[in-house]
Formats: sequence, structure tokens, C-alpha cells
Amino acid sequence: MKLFEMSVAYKLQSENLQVFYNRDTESFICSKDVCLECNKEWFHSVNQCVFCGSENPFVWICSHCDHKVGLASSTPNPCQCGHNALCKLCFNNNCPSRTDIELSKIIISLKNSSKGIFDKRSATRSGFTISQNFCKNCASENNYIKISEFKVLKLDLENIKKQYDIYNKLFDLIIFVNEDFTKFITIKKNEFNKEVKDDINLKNFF
Amino acid sequence: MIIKFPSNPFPRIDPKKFTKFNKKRVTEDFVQINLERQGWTVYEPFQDVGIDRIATIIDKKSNKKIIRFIQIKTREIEASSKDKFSFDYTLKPKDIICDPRITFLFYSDYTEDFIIFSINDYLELCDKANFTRSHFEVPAFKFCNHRVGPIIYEKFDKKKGNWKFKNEDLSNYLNEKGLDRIKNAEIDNNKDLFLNKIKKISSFRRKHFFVFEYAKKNASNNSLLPEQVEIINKYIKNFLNLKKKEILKTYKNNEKTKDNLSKEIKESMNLYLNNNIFETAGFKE
Repeated sequence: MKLFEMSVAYKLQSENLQVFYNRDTESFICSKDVCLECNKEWFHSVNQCVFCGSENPFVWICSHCDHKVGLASSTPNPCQCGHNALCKLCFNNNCPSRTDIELSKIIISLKNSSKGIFDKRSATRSGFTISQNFCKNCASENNYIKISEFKVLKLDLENIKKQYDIYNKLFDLIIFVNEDFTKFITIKKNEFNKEVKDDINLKNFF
Repeated sequence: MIIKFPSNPFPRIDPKKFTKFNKKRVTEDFVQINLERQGWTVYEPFQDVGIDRIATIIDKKSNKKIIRFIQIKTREIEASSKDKFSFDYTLKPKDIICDPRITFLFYSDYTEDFIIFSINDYLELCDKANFTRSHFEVPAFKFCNHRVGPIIYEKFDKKKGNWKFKNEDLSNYLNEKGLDRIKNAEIDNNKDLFLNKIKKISSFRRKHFFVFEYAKKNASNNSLLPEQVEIINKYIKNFLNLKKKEILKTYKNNEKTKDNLSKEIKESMNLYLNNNIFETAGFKE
């Protein structure tokens, strides 16, 4: 992969897009998991509570006073209320995992969830959370993977139309990038333009 | 020219000589080259997160592009008896993505075989082989460390052996036949079928991921008792019976609670969330 192609790949990756490369055609595919109904991003690595659907809040929560402490504190206890009760609980105060005594006793009694349902020991999860199953925007349970196929080329304003004519039919997008990777032209299929911008136009993806 | 599928693209390299610590890249390249030799265009991830490869090919009948997201699992088969060998692997809830183009490719390096399933075929096979409960409903699956071994290689004499999924014959999913199955362009060309298959996967997730079964009757410190399972499932069922607007109400309340937290806590929460978005997807060694 050439440096100018790499500059675009890293940029897209920093925008939470997954980037794939074909070494023969020297072209890319960019993918993104989205909700089938509303198109909102979908993250399979972020778990949700099986009792209420709340996503992992990535925070310590005190089961006694509901005080919250950032995860950077690896040994947050005792809490400011004096109790050793900071755990990785569900963020929802009304979740049965927090309000039902019988259920919370079961959860605490199990090794994997004794520090809360969102606790994780190396790769092992508590069992009471599941990879994203509900859209955070519309609560749909259906998602799929969207893709865009694109080609990255060196920006040469004199030949841009010629290159567009070659690649337009083959790709969803063509991205032109200048020598020092600071100027971009993003052309969507059949929408030729020569507008030089300081960044890749992400709206043209998908 | 007909090219044997699969075949070792690096004849001087013995795939058996790699250990689990250094075989991932070589086996993924092995799969990639084999697919390319069959006419597929294969894209490799810029960084190793999520899907292992994306493969595309033009459907000769419709002239439309077929796209498959390939998850590769390479394993050395292990002898479970004199004539039987098992291919053990771990699947996690996040491997079951609701996109019918997801393809599981199991590569047995010792026998040089590919077993290729579309995700819908895999889930249907689990149902058919009566393997759904012990695969997806036991706590270990939700713990993300449930190693299963339904794929079996039987070899009774010096002839080539047979692959099975429990008792189900796998010859239709093996090598060229398996590749032909995923080359079927119906899901790429028929939107209704595509949507129907998405919904089948999400129904499967709802039915089997949101139910707990106890693994053993003699509870250890991480096992569930039948009466505990009953309580857990009761609350999960209550949640699944909620209407979408009730779930969204919880989400809105959570956002409000988050908004009221200090800037430092919110930044910390967002930082860890972003770090986890690209956590290496499952289906790895």
C-alpha cells in the first residue's frame, strides 16, 4: 500500500470505519455496521444488559449511593459514602439487576458477575450482557453491514477528469489526495466535481 | 484450467509447522489466495479488527456483484477416538451478526479442507442437528468462552474421511460445493429475501441469546441452579415483552443521567466506549 493510500485509510479508520484493501486492484472497501431501520451505527463489541438493554456505561457505580467513578481507577473502593460497593453495574437505576433483591443476589453469587454485570475478566464476560442487540436510536433488532468501494489517487488537477472517466464506473467513490496529504477531492459515483477540500468528505460514503 | 480447491499456495511451506501464535496471518492468506484463484477479489483488513476478509465476485447470470464477509477459523483437528477427530472452536454472541452475507469458513489445515457456511446455513444446521441449546443457551456462550466441537471428521480407513456436523453430513458445505453455495447470488439480487434472512438471524438471537439454561445440576461457583435460571429468564422475558418506545425511554433516561455527570466522568466513559468499539471481533484463535 502506498503512503498516500495509507493516509486515507488511517483517516477513515479514525472515523470508526473499517477499511479493507485489495493489493491487486489497489482499491479499498470501507464497511460500517448500521441499523436496518434508522441507519444508526451499530457496534457489536459494545455489550448491552439482558434485563433492560442499557449499553455498557464503562464506569464504576456504587450500589449503595449511586456515585460514579471513572474506569481509570482500577481499585475505586471504598466509595465516598464509605461502602466498598463500587461495581460495574447497569447504568439504569430501574434495571431489575439493581432493583430486584432476589435477582441481584443471584448475579453477585456468580464468579463472573460478582463485580457487576459489565465486569470482564480478560475475555470472559459476566453472562448477563450481550453484544449490541437493540439499536440505541430506534430499538430495532435488525442490522446489516454497509459498504463503499473506493479508489485513492494522487491529486493531479489537470488529469482529474481523465481518471474520473476511467474509475467512475468501477467504484462508489474516488478520493484524490495531494502530495502532503492535506488537500482532498472526494467524488461520488456520477457526481464529478473538482472541489478541493481540507478533508475527505465522509458524507459521500454509503 | 481447473485449480484444485483448496490447495496449498506455498508448496514449500508446511501449514502444520505453524503454532497457534503465528498461524493466523498465513492461514488467512492461504484462504485469500485460494479464493482469488477461483476468481474472487479479496480485500484484507487494513487493521486486524472485525471481519477477516471481504470477498467479491460478479454473478455471471445477473452481472451483479456478490459480496461476502468472511470469518476464518483455522484449526488442527484433534483425535476424539481412533477414527474420529473433532474441530473445536469458540463462537461468541458478537459473531452472530444479522447480515446474511456473513460467511464462516472453517479451515482444517491437517486435511486441507474448507467447510464453508453462510451464517443462515450455520444457524439452520445448528437447529437441524439439535445443537442450538447447548451451543447458544448455556451460560458459557454468554461468558464468551464456550468451546464447541460439533464439526467432526470421521476416517475409518486410508481413504479420505467424511465431515459431519453432529450427525448431519457436511459434504454440501465442503470445499468446491461450499464455495458454490455462497456464490449463490439470490441474497444479493433479491431485497425481500435479504431482509427476510436478516430477520431470521435477529429472531434467532432473540430466541436463543436471551434465555439461560443451567449447564450442570451440581452447581459450582459459576453455574446456575434451575430455580435461579427461572428467575433470570422471567426478568429477561419481561424485558423482551417491552415495546420499542419503552426501551427508548430507558435509553433517554440513561442519557439524562449521563448528562448530569461531571465532565471528567463523561470523558472517561466516552474514552472507554471508543476504545471498545474496535475491540477485536470474535471468531479469532
